[in-house]
Amino acid sequence: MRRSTNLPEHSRTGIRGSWRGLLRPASVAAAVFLAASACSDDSSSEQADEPMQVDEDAPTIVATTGIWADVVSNVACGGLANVEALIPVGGDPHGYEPSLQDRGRMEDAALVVANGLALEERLLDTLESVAEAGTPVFEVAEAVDTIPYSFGSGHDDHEGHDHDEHSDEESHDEHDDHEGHDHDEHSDEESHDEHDDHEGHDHDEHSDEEDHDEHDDHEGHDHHGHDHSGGDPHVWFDPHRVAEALPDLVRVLNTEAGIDAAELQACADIYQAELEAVDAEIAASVAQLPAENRKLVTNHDALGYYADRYEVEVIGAVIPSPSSMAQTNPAQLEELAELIEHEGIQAIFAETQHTSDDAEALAARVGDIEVVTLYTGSLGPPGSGADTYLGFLRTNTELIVGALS
Amino acid sequence: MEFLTDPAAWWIEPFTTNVFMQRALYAALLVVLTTSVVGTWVVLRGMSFLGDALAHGVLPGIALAFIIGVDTTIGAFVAAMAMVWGINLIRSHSPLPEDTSIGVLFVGFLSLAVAIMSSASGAYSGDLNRFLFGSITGVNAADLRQQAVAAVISVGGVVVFYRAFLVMTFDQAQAAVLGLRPRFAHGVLLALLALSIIASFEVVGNLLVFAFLIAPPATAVLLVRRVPRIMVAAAGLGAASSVIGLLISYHHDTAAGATMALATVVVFVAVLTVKSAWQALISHNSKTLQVAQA
Repeated sequence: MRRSTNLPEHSRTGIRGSWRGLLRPASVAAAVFLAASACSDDSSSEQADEPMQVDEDAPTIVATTGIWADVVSNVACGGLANVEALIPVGGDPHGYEPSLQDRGRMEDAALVVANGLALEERLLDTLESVAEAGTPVFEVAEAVDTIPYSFGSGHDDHEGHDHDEHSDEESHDEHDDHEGHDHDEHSDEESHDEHDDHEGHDHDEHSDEEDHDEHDDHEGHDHHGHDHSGGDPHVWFDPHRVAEALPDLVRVLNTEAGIDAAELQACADIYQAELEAVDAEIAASVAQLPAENRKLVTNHDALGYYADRYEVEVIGAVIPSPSSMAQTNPAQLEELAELIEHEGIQAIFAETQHTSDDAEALAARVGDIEVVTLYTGSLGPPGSGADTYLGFLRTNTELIVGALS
Repeated sequence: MEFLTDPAAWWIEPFTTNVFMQRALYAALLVVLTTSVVGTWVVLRGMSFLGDALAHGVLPGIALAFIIGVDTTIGAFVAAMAMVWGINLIRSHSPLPEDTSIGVLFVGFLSLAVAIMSSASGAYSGDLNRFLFGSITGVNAADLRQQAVAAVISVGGVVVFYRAFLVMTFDQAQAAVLGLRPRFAHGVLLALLALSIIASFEVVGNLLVFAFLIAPPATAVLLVRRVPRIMVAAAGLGAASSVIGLLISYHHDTAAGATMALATVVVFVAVLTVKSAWQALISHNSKTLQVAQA
């Protein structure tokens, strides 16, 4: 039933690159002025679709970010699905406002893959109504072991449960005992050990995870809206966690989009091996860094999972919030500048899809420090090296290791 | 109460110990100088609605400049000029009053800006926030230079065209008779208005620039009568409002641009209240005096 209603959509997707920019009312007005630049933007924004050989019978899967679109197209490899990304390259998933057409694309899709944990702040209502209208929505973050925010607005979560990171975080939050040097690496390592054996009773998300393990109430959209309180949404910064989500992804692609389970499993096995290989590569390059250099100052609080996985520490963020939509203020920036000086940090990591004004102002205040731009919420344009999820991970690691060694 | 019990820590230290606060203060003071001298004429000539419209009218220019990759200041200026030209065009080709032509282009330009930012790539919606509400922590040396240049041009322009603006404000016909070229002077004033809007939106943001443009001169008009004094008083009131706004924002972690804009309006309301109460008191006293004498 669903697949037959999708058919007209497939023929449209084939020519999307040409009409997408034109049909949006805004672009009609804008096109006069920026024909050249808008066209190039649009063609690049569709690159997530390009690796697919478009198969008329294949179901359409819409992923919110290009990162998840790339992951899904690797699990549904060889044209098992037509995978589209909603948010164009360079778009900020925190701030992306869907158009009516986007909503139509989601409703017509066999399955919508979202990140979840309120990453797509401005898409929440749309995702909810799409789910109500009957399109299953799979949230990847629901399929992995999440961590709470490392600092900032995660305050409230911190009280009362015993995370190993807590000694660290609390000192950051209070900013009064930097002198005490409790930013040493060993607490991180402990959190890692805890992470590897993964029973994780002291995470507050665990009730959710257990649901996942039992695989019973996991119909994608019924997860909607109940988990906005806790976890850090930026799960794609840990390929190991993404690999963990593959079995669930295979399952929903089979049950909701009707793709053959064996074919999916074959693709997923290949991709899982690739993810594990990149994971090992990243671990090896980060391991080259001297322990005292493994400290990150990021633009917004996006690299918690990377830090968790690769034994680096995020000591602060220019915008100390899990959302890039938040704003900083002079008092917070000054505290961070002092922390950077105290810790001898060499680089501030800005991000491609967000202004680096605040990061630059901070760098100007600190003086001898580099501002390095990472790919965070979006893949890079074609040719950037970060135009696939695996390339995104490798490029970011090169940038981080390069800046910190 | 810390601002009373420990005044040095509340009022002074944020500016001496925090380089971001210093830069925010310099930016705010430069912006206030620019908007006060220009805003005085906006208030006196009853051009508030045009000022508000222009504040939003620059947005599509900024958005396009951002996408094309040219300096956003140029984009903003071009858009402001396009808006002024459009308003004149509508006015001369229709029987509609000026506020209608301003209103039509106001919403036209604002919605065009939002549409552009949402279309070409969703990439810019985060920056829409920044345009609308400012990002005073991100002010850099280049921004300060630009704001200083804008302040010099505005003050210089107002001094050079003082006579023309003054006569034009009170008597258009006489301005022409005196050879003051009122149309040209009006154009200069609009250009200065656009300049002051563009120079200030990094600090307070596009939605709130208007507060800086209107509230301090309006407060000054309540207090003094001669135009040069209004400009000076407006700059002083605006400066005081932005210092208080910045400090409240610093100590209570509120948005800097909005807090400063709110401070200018609170000062206006406070001055109006005190002045009305004072006048009521005076007229009451003079009445009782008359009764007593009779």
